[in-house]
Amino acid sequence: MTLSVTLAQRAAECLLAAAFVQQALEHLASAHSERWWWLARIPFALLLIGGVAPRTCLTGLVLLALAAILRYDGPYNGGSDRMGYLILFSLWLARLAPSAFWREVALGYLATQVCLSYALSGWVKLVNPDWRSGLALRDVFAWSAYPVSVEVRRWADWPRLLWVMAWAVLLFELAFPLALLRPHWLPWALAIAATLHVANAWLFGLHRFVWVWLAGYPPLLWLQGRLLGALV
Amino acid sequence: MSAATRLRAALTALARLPALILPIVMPSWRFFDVIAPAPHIEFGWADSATSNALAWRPFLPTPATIDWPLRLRHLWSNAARNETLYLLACADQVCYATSARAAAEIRARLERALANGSLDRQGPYLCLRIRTVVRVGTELQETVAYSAPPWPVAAPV
Repeated sequence: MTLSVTLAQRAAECLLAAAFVQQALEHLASAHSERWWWLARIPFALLLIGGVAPRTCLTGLVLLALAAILRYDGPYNGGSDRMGYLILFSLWLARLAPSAFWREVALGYLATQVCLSYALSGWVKLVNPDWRSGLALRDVFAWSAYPVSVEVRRWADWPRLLWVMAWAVLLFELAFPLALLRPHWLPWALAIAATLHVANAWLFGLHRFVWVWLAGYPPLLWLQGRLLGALV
Repeated sequence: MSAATRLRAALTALARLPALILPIVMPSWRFFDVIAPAPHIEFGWADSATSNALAWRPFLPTPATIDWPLRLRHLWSNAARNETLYLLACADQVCYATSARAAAEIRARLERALANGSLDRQGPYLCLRIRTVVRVGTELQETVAYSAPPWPVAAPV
């Protein structure tokens, strides 16, 4: 499955805009003034999905992102916002690119970062003996701040299952770049990765990761086709 | 706040922008590389600015259970969880970077919860502390990593 650069760019823009709308709607119910930081994204995001003045819409979203980064002294929700902003900045630069070459550089950088987000996460786990023994994942469930409920903490009572889960995650993340080697491997790898994000959302309440990371997948599908096409 | 002070604050914030953006455009992607001490934000009530909290209660406690339909909905929308994750990040900054901004952010959230009725007022002074839990060897070690002096909170009008 390969995508043209134009289709990958548009798909990523639409998916990111949808993720931003999802984030904004979450803040709709909050009574405090901060919700306006998020709601202001909606018109830009909807116009971007509609393909109306994408460069202007992305510029508006970048300015709102910079304002939010200053307001919260960094990303509001850690890794998910970090990836959301990285995708936003890359897509914005791709739209501003003076030539097709620079557009590919911007999208290629984004695709590389999506790939590294898995591979490096796998590597840092592999070099940690607590991850290799399954103890780290047990700690995550037993006493870390992440489980969404006290009930979820009971997973810590299943050390063998957690050892298998830890190695499955670790090996998948580490091997993720290999999926670029064959065209039909990458869609499967992305499907597994998306499932991993859903599991993290289910167990640890990290639901924003699901929607944001999806927006990074189309440039990766394009990059694979570009790299394999160059090799043929 | 005077216009000059506001301008200075805005310029100071803008000067921080490159340092804030760099880890975003060049991320390290070290998700869960180590399981860091888990912060627990707790609050209590005191009778005066110099007394101690009578009892500590968790702020934004972890629910005992969440049913499946709600968990499914949370895949799409869970603003309360986002807020909890943000405050946990603030708590980390308070404990390990002694961030006054992050401490003020937690205090503001506590006062907001008080104002909107999700916390009961049980005294004239509010206290805040952050307790961390981490495994050392085979034991769990608890430490009070941060403790703010009690501050007066306005009585409801």
